[in-house]
Amino acid sequence: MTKQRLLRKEERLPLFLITPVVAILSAVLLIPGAWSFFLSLHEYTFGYDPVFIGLENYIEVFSDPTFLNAIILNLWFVFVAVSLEFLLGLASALLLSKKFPLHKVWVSLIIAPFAISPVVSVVAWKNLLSADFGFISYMFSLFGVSTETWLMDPVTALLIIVIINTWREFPFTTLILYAAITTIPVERHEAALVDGASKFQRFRYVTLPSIMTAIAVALTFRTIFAFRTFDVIWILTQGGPYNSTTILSVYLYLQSFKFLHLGVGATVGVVMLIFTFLVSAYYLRALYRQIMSRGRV
Amino acid sequence: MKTKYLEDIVAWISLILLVLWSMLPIFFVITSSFKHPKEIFGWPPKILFNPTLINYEDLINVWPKFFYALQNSATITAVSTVIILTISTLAAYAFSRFHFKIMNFTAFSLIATRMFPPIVITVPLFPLFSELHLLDTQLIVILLYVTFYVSLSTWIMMAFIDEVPVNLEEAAMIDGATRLQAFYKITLPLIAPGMVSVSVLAAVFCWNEFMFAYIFTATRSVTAPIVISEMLGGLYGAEWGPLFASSTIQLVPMLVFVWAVQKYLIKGLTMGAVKG
Repeated sequence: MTKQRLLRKEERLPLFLITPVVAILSAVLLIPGAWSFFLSLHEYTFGYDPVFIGLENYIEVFSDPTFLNAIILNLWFVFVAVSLEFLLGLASALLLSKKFPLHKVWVSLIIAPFAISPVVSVVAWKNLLSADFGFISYMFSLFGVSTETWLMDPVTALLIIVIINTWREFPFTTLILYAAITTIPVERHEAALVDGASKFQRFRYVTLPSIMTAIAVALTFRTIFAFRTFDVIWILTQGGPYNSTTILSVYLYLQSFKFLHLGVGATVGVVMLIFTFLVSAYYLRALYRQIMSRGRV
Repeated sequence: MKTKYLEDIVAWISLILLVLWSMLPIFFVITSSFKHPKEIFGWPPKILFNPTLINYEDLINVWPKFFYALQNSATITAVSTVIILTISTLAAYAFSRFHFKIMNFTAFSLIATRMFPPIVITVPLFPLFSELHLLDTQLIVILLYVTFYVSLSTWIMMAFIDEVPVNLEEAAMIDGATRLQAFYKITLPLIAPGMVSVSVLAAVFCWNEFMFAYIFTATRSVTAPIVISEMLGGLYGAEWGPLFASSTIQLVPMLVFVWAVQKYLIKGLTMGAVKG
């Protein structure tokens, strides 16, 4: 048999069409990503060649209390923020599926935070919480509670970031769950009604099982994206007070661009990549199976 | 009957609370931008007031830089969105119509890159861009935005193109159309809604993005969110007026845009997420 040509004719067009996307992702994401692994094994800063030091960067970060604290804060932040987003997203999706008059208007108003930039979100909430003239501060002052020190207190500062994050991100969950709820066939609910199911039973045994995939997808994405949160924290507190809002992304930024320890920054990046991979492994496996079976009859 | 009535009341109250939660922060930014500085600091905060443009005048006089940054934002958003839309539609077409192994594997790898935390690559890229004298240029900001949005965009476009039956294109090709003509005349009009949703999502992302712009720009190609964060950082009471004005200018176009094409946005978002 003659050797096949490197590319069969019908394979040229599709490979040509995907070239721009593949080229840009390789150049800006995959190669720099691999370079991060390389740098994490080196002592490296601006203007000097990387010096190989083995696992010393890893030993350094894992013996730095600020880094260990950042991991704990990060997990706490992800858990609380994603839980709140999920509850709010599910509640609003169920509510919207009730079909109020002017339905589209309500959807628009509820998902509005989706269009707001991180920086304007911070402006908006800093305004509401301003001890001098904020609306929320005013409400609290009616009950004799002062908001004056909230941003300077480690616990409340992190809570405020969780709230701003929840406000910005819950519409994503709302939209995904809402879309899933509206595709449940009416017959299923009717059948449950005939069987005499209560409202809660219908939610528990009809709605919930039908939207499990959507819930899994929403939770996976929200966990991954909440884990890397940087914008709102950096704009509001820059990781303070006393590192109480320094989660991994902020720690990476400080190490790399404030202390100029690029090797350490790369190491934190690798840790973040590993976490992301672990959380998304199940989703990626399902995605892999689905895509690799495309075109098979 | 009575419980039904009660249920409706609870539902309406929940709906109104939810709308207040979403809209109040935005409402206060916009209304405060039209308040006289004296009224901004009024206690208790006022809902009714005499609107004035004084904060916008202050913004023009004190922060001309903001309008320069706004132009940068507009350029970067427009160019990035067009590039994202073009290259992801081409790639998605290839992934939807050709299923040999390399194609499927490339499609998977490409979609998987969406999981990659963007901040991780700032570390290797910063020294590189510095070496190439590319820091503070619109070019690298556009390059980064395209990189981090082609993944989702391609995924959404694939979902839309999958829904167009191949037979339609084949029929046109039997009638003598080339593949390009078949794509252009048959497929493209049918996937237009998908292209709208990709454009909306990409434009919202590029217009609002903070982290890359903060790290990789300084003065020449600085974007609007960065200037707003500078105004917020150097805040000494009196700056709130221009801050509200600039925030309003930054947020209103995207809010209107998202509302105008909400239908497509929802479709794109759910197709991009749930189909996985």
